[in-house]
Amino acid sequence: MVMNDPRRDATRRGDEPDGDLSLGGPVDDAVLVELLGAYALDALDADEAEAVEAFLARRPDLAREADRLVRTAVWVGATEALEAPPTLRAGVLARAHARRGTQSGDAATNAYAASGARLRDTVKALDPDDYSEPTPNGLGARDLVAHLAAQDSLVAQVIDRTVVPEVTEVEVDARTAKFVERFRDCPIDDVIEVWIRSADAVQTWSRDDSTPASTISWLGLDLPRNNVLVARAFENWIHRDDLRRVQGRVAESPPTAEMHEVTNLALSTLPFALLTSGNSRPGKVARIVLTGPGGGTWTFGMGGERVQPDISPDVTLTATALDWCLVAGERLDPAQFTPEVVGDLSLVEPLVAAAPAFATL
Amino acid sequence: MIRDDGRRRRGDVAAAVADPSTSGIRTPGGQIPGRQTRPGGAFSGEWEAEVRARLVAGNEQALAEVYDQFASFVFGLAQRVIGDPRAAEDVSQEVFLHLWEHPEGFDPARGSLRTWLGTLSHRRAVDYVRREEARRRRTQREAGQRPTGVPDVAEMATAMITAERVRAALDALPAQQRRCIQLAYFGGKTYREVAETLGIPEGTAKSRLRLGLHRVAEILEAQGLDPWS
Repeated sequence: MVMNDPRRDATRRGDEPDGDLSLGGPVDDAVLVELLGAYALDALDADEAEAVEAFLARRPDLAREADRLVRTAVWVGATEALEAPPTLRAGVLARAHARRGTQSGDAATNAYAASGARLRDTVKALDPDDYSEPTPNGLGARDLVAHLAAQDSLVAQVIDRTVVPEVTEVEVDARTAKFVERFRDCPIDDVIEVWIRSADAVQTWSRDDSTPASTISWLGLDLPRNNVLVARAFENWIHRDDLRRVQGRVAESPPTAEMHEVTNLALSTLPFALLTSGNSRPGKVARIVLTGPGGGTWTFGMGGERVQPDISPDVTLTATALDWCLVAGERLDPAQFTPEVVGDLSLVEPLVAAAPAFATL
Repeated sequence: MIRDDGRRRRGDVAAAVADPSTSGIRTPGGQIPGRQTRPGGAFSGEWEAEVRARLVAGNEQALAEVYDQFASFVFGLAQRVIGDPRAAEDVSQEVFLHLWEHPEGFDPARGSLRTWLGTLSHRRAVDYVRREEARRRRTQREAGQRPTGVPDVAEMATAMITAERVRAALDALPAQQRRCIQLAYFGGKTYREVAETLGIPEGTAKSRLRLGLHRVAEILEAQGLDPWS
């Protein structure tokens, strides 16, 4: 839409059929105009809807027509009002409270807690038919839950609040494999229970230890407490979307405040990621401009050098914060990542290649 | 919060369709009888801007107020499309939680909260229907049937008139256009699927959807119902 369309808030990346519009080339405007009614009624495939939205963005005159049709469609829908069940109100308010009601902690603590609350709702809504469905990280949905338990129980272990003492593996894949094996013949509720106990232990610790400067040993690194919490929040987001895709639901980005925490961490650690991933470019300066919720501007030396924020960069890369995070989370193929680039194009590839290093935290 | 003779409205067609600017039962000052509205009117941009600001600030009472105003609209629309009360409840919950977590996505200067919630509710309901089709577990139902559920009949006369006007506008359409709109909007079908269901060319389906919606808008505008609200 056109203006103020909540559909823009949800990503449309997923297993949706391709439309027959050639997005890569010019499309007759008349063809797109004919789609406005279908667009207003949500009667388009994802690709067609995207094409129409791009068309309306450059045709404000027709955007007004589209607005009129959308609002008319909503009037039509409004004739079907039904008394909502009482459980709906209670459920909405309880979950809202869990996801954002407790704002007593710092931003990193709140991001971890809120993202965990959303993920819990998604995990608990898994259908048995979903358990064996594959997710993007190679695990089935049920085994992904075991992975969550493995990860959060490792954090709990590191902060001396061990929940699963019999599992000693600390390497991510090995620990996940151990959890998958351990819980293979157990009801999924057992896995969920271990995961929730672990996450609760971490949350309790995070609210007791609010000193951002404190460090914990995580995956072989001594990391600031806040970095670990935000990295966990990011993983919660990515895996929630993995499970939502299994359920056939659209992906959902987190609230803006959480996005800011994630992008701040992702971009502030990118110079280090360039070094550790073998993608550093000493002497070169990059500026990354992220737009939309969670956006900001980061300027840094690609060899780890300290630079002034107003320095003239060798390359400026502009993209949405959402797309950058999806690249970092390896949920957007770099080949489909199309940032605007000004300057040395050869510096884009190492930047994009280093982005996912953040997700391994 | 709109009240009726002291009873608290838990959202109803009144909230869904009420437009104080429409003709109908009026009292001096333009207020709907029996209602106590917030300054500027419960559905005014002023109220919606205020509630948005409160949502951004994390005010749970603001969410409760929005819920109470629009729950039956959101749920009714979801139920109408999905045909499964439990799934409609899940979708409705998602809609309100999305507003809770992304209140900045709603801009009162660009449209009403009803339109925003209705658009999101319909989109999520259609997504549900399509994924269930893909998973072959959807309960059979046909667009055009009235869903089971408890109609919220305890609504103000003005709101009933408005709802009936919208239904009458749909009924005034040529049957072919109305059928296309029903299949698309309440059946969750793409225009291609509408064309296939009706055995018509895709271009005809697209045209009927667009022309039909325009006709409904014209009818409602001629009656003073502002589709821009």
